[in-house]
Amino acid sequence: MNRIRIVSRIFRVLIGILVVMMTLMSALFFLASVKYALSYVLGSGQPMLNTLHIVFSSHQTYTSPFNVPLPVFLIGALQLGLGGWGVILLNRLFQLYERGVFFKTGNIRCIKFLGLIVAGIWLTQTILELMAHQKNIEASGLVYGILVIFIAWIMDEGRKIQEEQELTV
Amino acid sequence: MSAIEISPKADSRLLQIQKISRILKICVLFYFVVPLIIVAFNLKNIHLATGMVSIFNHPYANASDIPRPMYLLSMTGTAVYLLGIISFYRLLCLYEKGVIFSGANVSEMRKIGSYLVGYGILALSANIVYVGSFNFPLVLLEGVASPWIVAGGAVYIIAWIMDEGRKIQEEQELTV
Repeated sequence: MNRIRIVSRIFRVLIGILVVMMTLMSALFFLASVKYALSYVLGSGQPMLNTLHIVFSSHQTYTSPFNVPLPVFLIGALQLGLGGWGVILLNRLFQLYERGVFFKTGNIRCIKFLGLIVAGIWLTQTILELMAHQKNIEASGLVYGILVIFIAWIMDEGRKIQEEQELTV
Repeated sequence: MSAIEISPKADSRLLQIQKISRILKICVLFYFVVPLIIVAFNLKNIHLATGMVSIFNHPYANASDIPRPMYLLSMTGTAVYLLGIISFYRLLCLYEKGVIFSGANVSEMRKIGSYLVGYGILALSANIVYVGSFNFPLVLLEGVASPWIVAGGAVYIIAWIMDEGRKIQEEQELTV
């Protein structure tokens, strides 16, 4: 049990560090891109077009935050929100494991929602690609999301079977 | 899990699990067998791609532009992907037999987690080959933030925790 607590805590700390790092890096890159875009507009310099890109999907790449269309920005923000929610759920799942809760509805709900988030992120990526007039759409993200939901469902049914068996005389 | 003494409600749940696992197994087989049949019937027309080729989401104008390391990475990535599908198929076979929380299930889930991490490392290597240079801090950041590596690590750890939890529950049941 102690090993589970230690591993869960380590993983939660790692997720926390990853979130802080990604947030700081994103903020830094965003500020740098605004700075270079402003310097280009004011005529005091040239933007570093070859090194700084704001990437929303493989065909939605911009060199300046002022060039990003509002719908793309909103969908990108939604995608980021889904990713953040996924990290929170992962943290909650490991919190439950740390408390010694392994096969309860709370755990299964976390896994199910993680599957929905994977499918949601696929959907936002697909919308961004369609907005870039790309017709080659990959369904792998949707498939992975459905598979995670399926496994969560099976675990839930297995849990209910075990509970019903324990109550059966 | 024994199927001998099961309440009727639990029995219907088990049947539902078995039915859906069977359907998914058929879908997985279709996913591989149908393209293989199409390839077998068109063997004479198979040739190297003449237009744009994409490997690990890196575009190349034509096949002759692809460096050799990228071919190796692509083949290894395909092998890892196939192994992942095989593990998932074995997991479905276990669910179809009504085995849901055993050591075999955990073993397959651990393998799937390892394959996801392996695929993430291959994608990272492909990035290095495509860019042509090795910038350690950026590579480390990409590795840590790679969804394949994070998801694979999470799946592996969750499978391990489920196994430990299962062992704890079994020990508690046996303790008088």
